[in-house]
Amino acid sequence: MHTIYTGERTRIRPFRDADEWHYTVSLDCGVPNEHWGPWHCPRAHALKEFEETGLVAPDKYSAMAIERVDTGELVGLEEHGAMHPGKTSTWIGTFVMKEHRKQGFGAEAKQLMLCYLFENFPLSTVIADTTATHRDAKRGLELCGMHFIGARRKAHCYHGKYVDVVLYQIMRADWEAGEYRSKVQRG
Amino acid sequence: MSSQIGVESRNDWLASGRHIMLRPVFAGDIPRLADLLAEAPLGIEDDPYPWTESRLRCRFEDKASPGLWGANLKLYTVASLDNQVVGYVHEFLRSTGGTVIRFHIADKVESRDTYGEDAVAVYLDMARQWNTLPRVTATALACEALKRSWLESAGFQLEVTCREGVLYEGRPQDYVVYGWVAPWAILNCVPAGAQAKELS
Repeated sequence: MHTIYTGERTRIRPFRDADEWHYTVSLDCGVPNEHWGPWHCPRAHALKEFEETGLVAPDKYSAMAIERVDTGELVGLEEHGAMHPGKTSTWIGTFVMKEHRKQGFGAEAKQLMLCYLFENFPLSTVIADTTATHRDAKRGLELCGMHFIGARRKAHCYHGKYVDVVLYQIMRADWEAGEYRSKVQRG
Repeated sequence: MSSQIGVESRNDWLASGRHIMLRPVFAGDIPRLADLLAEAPLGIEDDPYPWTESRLRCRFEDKASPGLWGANLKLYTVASLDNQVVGYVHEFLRSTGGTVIRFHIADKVESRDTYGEDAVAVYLDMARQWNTLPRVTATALACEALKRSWLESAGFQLEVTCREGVLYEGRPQDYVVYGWVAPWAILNCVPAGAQAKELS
């Protein structure tokens, strides 16, 4: 039984099946935002990824579905990097479907994922990045308690231009001090 | 030149500086490289398994990317001009066009500082000549002062400091990310060879 983390507006849970995963990831890849650009995840690749681990194996790339609490709708995905006993850090990433943006779902999903990661793994820190031009994403990272730690200059190319990629980090102590932890339901 | 450095032909090395040459891995390098990979504080891969000679040899003989020379991942031997293996550069080519390197020079080799400084400069000089490379990213532990000085000497800039991001000697350690960016990428120009050369 996998613990489901529920906040005021969203919950994160494992994807129900390969089709739900493929549907979500194909939206993520197929509806690029103006900052990252297009990507492609072939169905065969997505299905193989899901069948191997259900996307909840900590030693591999993993992802969970973001679901609205009020309607039960699938609104996106929250992902994290592979972990192993020698790692003190991992990364997180968020995709929220276009029609569900600007309602705080992404920031809350990040907070829930931070609870999942810090409560279940001996991590010192969690990292995330976004493009320097992506104001909403940067705000979302700050809202969930992450701090700017630097920028990789001209590390991403889209629309014929190179843009900086900014990095954010949250330490375990900062997460422990977060007030939202007490509002999260587990189970 | 080739007779001076003890290799058979120019094809055996890719670039050389005043103290080292950078070349593909030869089968005879494997035992020494395995030791160096095990010695390096920051591994070249995320998994925690130690490098051994047999594990590295398996990777070297992998049919998909033989010689540790894949399309996206490459391992270069750093050899002294008398062809002693003194270090390595591991290169990952990102889909966005830049490379990410992790490198190491043997802790106990004489002239480590000289070799290291030359190795980073030679790699960057080689990479710049590709003309379409927008940036090179290099990572090191924050406490690796020598490596950081080699990067800075070569023209890399400190971009990110990540607190407690890796485990080393049983404790979380900070790591740093350095970057070198091509002048044409800074200006968002077309990465055409002639223009890139002019800008650089």
